[in-house]
Amino acid sequence: MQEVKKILVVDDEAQITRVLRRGLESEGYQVRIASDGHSGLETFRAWPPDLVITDLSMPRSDGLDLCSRIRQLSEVPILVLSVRDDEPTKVKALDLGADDFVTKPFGMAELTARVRALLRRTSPAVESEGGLEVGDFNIDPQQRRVEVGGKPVHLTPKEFELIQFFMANRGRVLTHRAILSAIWGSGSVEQPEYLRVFIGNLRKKLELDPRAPRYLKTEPWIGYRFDPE
Amino acid sequence: MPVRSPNGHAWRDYALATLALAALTAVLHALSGRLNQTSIALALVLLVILIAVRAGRGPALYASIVAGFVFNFFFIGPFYTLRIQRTEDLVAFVVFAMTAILVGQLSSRLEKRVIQAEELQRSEQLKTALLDAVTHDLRTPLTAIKAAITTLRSGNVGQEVQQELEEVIEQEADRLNHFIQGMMDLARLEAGQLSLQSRAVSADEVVEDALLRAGSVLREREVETAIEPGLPQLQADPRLLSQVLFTLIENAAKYSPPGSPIEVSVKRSRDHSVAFAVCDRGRGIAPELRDKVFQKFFRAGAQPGFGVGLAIAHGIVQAHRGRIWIESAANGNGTRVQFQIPAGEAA
Repeated sequence: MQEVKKILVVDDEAQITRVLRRGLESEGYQVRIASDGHSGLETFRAWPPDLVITDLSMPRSDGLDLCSRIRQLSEVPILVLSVRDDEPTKVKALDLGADDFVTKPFGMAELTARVRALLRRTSPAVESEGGLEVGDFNIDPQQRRVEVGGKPVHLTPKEFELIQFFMANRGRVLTHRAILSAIWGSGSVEQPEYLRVFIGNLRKKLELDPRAPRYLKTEPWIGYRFDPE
Repeated sequence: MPVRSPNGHAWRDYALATLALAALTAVLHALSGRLNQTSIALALVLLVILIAVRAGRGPALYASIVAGFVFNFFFIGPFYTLRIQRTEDLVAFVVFAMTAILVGQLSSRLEKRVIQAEELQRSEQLKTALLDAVTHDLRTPLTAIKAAITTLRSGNVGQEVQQELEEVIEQEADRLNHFIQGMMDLARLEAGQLSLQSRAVSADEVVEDALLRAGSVLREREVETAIEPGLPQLQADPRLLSQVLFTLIENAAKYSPPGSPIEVSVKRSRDHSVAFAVCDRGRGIAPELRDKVFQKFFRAGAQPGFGVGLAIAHGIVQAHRGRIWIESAANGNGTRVQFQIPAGEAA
């Protein structure tokens, strides 16, 4: 039997948490509510959830603060809610450890889809004899071999590093800064155009239609999201 | 036209310019044995510039003409007459007069530009603050409504949950409506067009209506009400008055810990007035911020949203010839916001 997943929702708007509780419960999740970052962290310690959904702007301790504090304690996926579409705040949240974001107002279907994707990431990948298998992808770190839908793909060493990094962080939104510093070191974080070239090449090799990517999606102004399913 | 001074005080600028010129002339005259004509002329021009910057074009022009006479009368021979004998003195006088007038006019224009630029910047900042605030206060209820509707449409909710979500949708639609009403009130207050629909109203009515409206904000919060019996009736606009009380209750709920009680009290006060007070057990507001919170777009702390609730409340109370202010709660723990409204003539 599948165990019930626990979700902690942190938002200061009572009406929003009221709806989120009902919406998530109707999808079969167990839900706890906190109204600010401070009590959110207390609940997190007392009742360790499988996923955290948090608003960014709250009185007292805010969402950014909560993200960094939770990251010091655990690797649990964090989904950020924000009324602002200002990219710097989202990038900041993601760099502080958030995994994905949804902009208010959102539909419940969109939110629960993101929740499912993030929870899937934490469920272990299937270790086959040929390597790591998730969705349409099969990656063998020993042989440095990648298969998409059963067909082998030839990648340069850097491209292989990149796809390995995406695989390890599947479902997450990765900021340009996070990818650049992981693959090219912290000295390259100000050069997103560098990354754009590599992503373009990678898409040509992995995607059926590189102009309408299915696996390697762009999050405008923020970064990329890899979804192998 | 003077830039900084309102028209009513223009004569004061001219009087001050006259005084300053008289004082400088006295000093220069006392030192005239040790100063040459050029230094004296420069000192006078400097004063004209100062007057131009402080008081604007009119006083600057006046000061440059008076300075011309002073220069001629006291410092160009033959002294103590307005006659000029030598040609080089005439040239010096004309150059001085033109410099003083030109520099005075240019300085005042520059000062005016600086003030205009500052005003523009302030209005830009205000626009940004307004946009951020409206974004938050419109999107938050919209988020609850959209999330509720999409949950309902997923089809897997029970009867009870369905009712709750419908209730949220209705309450949030009301909240949007109140927000728009608040914007309208603010616009009318600013244009001086808020007309009071006054009638005799009792304090009980006002409190009851405000608490009814605060229902969705308060949820399970406990509100203790204490209304002194036998209060005089108020001659006031009931909707606006309950709007003020609602704003105070909403703020109390927002800025104090969940579960802590909120007290609403109404009692007779001096000068034949009725005093309403809302008291919470929150962190309180620092004394130096207590007047600022009534300004438009001001928010204590990093609270998001439209910081105009108290500005509107302030305007409404003033329109009723009352006053509103903030104190620390009786035990020093929390905030107590009070407003006084004069009782109606009928009482």
